[in-house]
Amino acid sequence: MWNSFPYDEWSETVTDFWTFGPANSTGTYILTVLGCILMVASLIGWVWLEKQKLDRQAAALRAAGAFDQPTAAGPRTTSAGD
Amino acid sequence: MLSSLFSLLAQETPTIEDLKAQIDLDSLVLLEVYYFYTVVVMWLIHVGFMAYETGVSRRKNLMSTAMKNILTIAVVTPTFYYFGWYIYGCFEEGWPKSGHASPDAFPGFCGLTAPWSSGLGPNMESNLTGHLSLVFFLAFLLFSWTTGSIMSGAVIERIRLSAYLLLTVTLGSVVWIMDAAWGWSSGGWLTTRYGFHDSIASLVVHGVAGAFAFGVLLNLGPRIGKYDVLGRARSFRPHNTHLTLMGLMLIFTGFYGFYAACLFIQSTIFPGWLNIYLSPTTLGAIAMVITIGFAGGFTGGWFASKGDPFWTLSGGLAGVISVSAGADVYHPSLAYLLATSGGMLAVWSGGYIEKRLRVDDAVSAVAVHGVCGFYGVFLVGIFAGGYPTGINNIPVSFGGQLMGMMAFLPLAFLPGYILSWILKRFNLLRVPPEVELEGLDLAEFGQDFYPEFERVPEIIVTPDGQEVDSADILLDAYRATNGKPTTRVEA
Repeated sequence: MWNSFPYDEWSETVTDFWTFGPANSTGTYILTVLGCILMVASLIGWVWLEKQKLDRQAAALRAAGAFDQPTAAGPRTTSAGD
Repeated sequence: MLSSLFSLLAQETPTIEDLKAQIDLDSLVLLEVYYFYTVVVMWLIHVGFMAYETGVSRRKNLMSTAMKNILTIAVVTPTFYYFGWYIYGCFEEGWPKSGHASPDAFPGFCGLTAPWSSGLGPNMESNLTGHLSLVFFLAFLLFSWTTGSIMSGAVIERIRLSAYLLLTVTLGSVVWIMDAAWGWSSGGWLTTRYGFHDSIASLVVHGVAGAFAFGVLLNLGPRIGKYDVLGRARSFRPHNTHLTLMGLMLIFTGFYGFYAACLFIQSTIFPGWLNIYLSPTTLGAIAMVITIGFAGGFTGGWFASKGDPFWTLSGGLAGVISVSAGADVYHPSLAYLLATSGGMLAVWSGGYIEKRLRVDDAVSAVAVHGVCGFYGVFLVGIFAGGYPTGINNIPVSFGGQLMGMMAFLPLAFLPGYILSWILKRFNLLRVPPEVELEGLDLAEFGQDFYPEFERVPEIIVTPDGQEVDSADILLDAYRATNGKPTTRVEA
């Protein structure tokens, strides 16, 4: 039975812990730390992922000799994988 | 009808205390709603910056340009929440003292700026009266986005997205908010000691962002092909000038929200409209100055550039920035005259930066925001000298304004220069030259964003004003960048 799940017994405690209420609670400190971790991790992730992407594309373009000769349609008409 | 009237009469007559409590509450609610809608209007600034910069970029870089503006929100919002707002609340004296560094008018404000404090959450324990801090925070957050957006236009078409994000976090969540704590708060040391006056943020937002961007540009370098071997500047054609001009008009619209958010009114505590230093002004005064500032700026930009559409619109922005610092006290006619001079100054300084200093600022942000931001604060020292500023009524002085300029120039320039230098050392600042030549959109997103339209030869404008196919010029510059022999030096 769904109501055998002891939710009612500790739901208020969970709510007190994770929602804001009066502030300066253990839950808000934990959430702040988790948010800071996400913030830092996302910044590192942006740097790392973009570096991979750009290095790969630049290497492909060099290998393809994409800029060895001028083209009539501008410096770039095909993608590196073409 | 009658029964309801009788029931009303039967109610107990409210006491003076009841009425006062109700008025206090209404006043607080009004202030909260006021700030909320300034935030809504200020979003248009960011819509505008995105359209403006995307239009200026070449077709091959449009989405990478737009993505910078979008992700500015993604990185500045959490960083400003976790530490930027704390800097504003607690660094007014330069460094947090024991206890609170905030002015006596707001005891405990420092304590309300920590991310786990009651000031930065729903605060349901006092959801009627204890909620102002969060909308005030949001208004400042939008200013932070603005500083990032100012820099983002200058560096388009060659900076790495991730490098830009790290730089914009530094600018939006540390540098500008530190200068705001020092000189754009009623308790800041520049305000309380020197009467520094920059009411609508000529310097603390625009000038500082421009100086930071200048430091970044020195390390970033120009776009491939921007200068010939003689150092003469070429121009890249914007891929959509209409979009650029519409973006600028959206920025102008958002500026009304920006101006309004720089004011404060709480009828039960203060007698009327106040500027950020808690000195008297009116909403009408600043609305009039911004409007006639645009008029003067357009005029100055048009004449100085001999009718160039980009510079006419940018002149409007420069004009407003030039009068923002004194917008709370200037006579409209004075604002008109000064804004015209600001529009002209932006055109001339933009040309100087591009042609003499050989710094490739794609949207002339350093001239429009940086130079005119400092110019605006300088003007207040001349035209509003002696005007009492802040809760201590320290008179505005030319020396006080110079003190602010001398404090903020290194505060803004050095972090931008040093961080971009570090990124450059680790080869994390600029995209590889092959990617720059091909266009950032294909490398970052793997697609062209006008798929139904054929790519035509890219045009570049030579120093003598001729429009030519850019292919040979860019390839030649690319070979020079990579140490290969140069076969052609001029267009």
